Amino acid sequence: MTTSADFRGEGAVLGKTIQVQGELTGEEDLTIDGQLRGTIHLPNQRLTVGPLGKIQANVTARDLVVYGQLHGNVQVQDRVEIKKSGSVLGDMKLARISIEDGAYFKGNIDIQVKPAAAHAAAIAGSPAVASTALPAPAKPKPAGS
Amino acid sequence: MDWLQRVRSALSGDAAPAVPAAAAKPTLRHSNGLRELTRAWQREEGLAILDLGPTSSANISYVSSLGQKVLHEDLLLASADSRFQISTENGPELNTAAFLAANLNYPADSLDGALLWDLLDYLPADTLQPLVSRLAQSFKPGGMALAYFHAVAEPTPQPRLRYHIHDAEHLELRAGPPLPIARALNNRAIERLFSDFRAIKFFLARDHLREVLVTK
Repeated sequence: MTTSADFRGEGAVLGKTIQVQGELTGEEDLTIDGQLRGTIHLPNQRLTVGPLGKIQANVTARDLVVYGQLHGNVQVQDRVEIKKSGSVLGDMKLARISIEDGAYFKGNIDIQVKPAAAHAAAIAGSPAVASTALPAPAKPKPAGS
Repeated sequence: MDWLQRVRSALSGDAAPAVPAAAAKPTLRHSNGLRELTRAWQREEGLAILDLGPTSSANISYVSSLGQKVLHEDLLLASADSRFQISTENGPELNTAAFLAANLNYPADSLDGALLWDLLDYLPADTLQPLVSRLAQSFKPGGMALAYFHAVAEPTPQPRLRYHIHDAEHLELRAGPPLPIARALNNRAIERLFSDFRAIKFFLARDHLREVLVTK
């Protein structure tokens, strides 16, 4: 599990003692290891919720990585990663998702890309599956075959 | 160690001993139940499918790849929350009313399907019927659910399995920390449990895991 000691944030960093209430917008990658309550709007950037991060906010971002806690609805253009220590409570719209074994998620997921590509991408990107020597996932057979 | 402590310990990864390396190796298992579900879910898009097991990228993406909407909540993990615990002479137990007040809240006739995996084998007996009845109320007519039941309650705790959908008729099983099942239900008890559903189908296998596919 990633701890606060070995975690290194990317881009701008809101440290573990920082508490923010309100709307946050920006044009650079952001790591939050403190607490934030409100809304986060980083439509072209990556948001990382650090191991100590506690977010209560609706989030718009290009990519989202969660090591800590996020409570709110999420709209992400590309990829969401929920790490083993991470938890997300809320509905998510996204293109790709990776969830490590041990992570917690409660809510709805709306994957907004070509369906077959989503499954293949997730299999390839999932630590739980990628480490195995299983054959490549087969495409679901048509009904009645 | 009481039930609640066992669940918390296993789910938090604190349980000892850790999973043996051999047991931790994933295995591929054929699933007739999954095959039937996939066929049903391929006929129509936009269905609301609820996954009640541990989070799995593979499962979310597979169901999504069929054009369905995925809903997720890990009910076993939720059951270990101290908010749903009551003190009894036998130690802390799950307060089913409080647990169901905060979980599995979906409007009536809103779900088209559910993946229960082996969740019901690990929950206290008093919780099973209210939970399954709640699920049935949330199901649309024709909605299907897939559940797994152990045929035997081993004397020593066995690794809890995580079920990852590999393809239309195979699951990848990965062993987690040991967690004893609460009991092994016989087929008659399983039929009674799902009496709110109009059809039930059993698939037997050599690995002592029964697949049960129910249709409302």
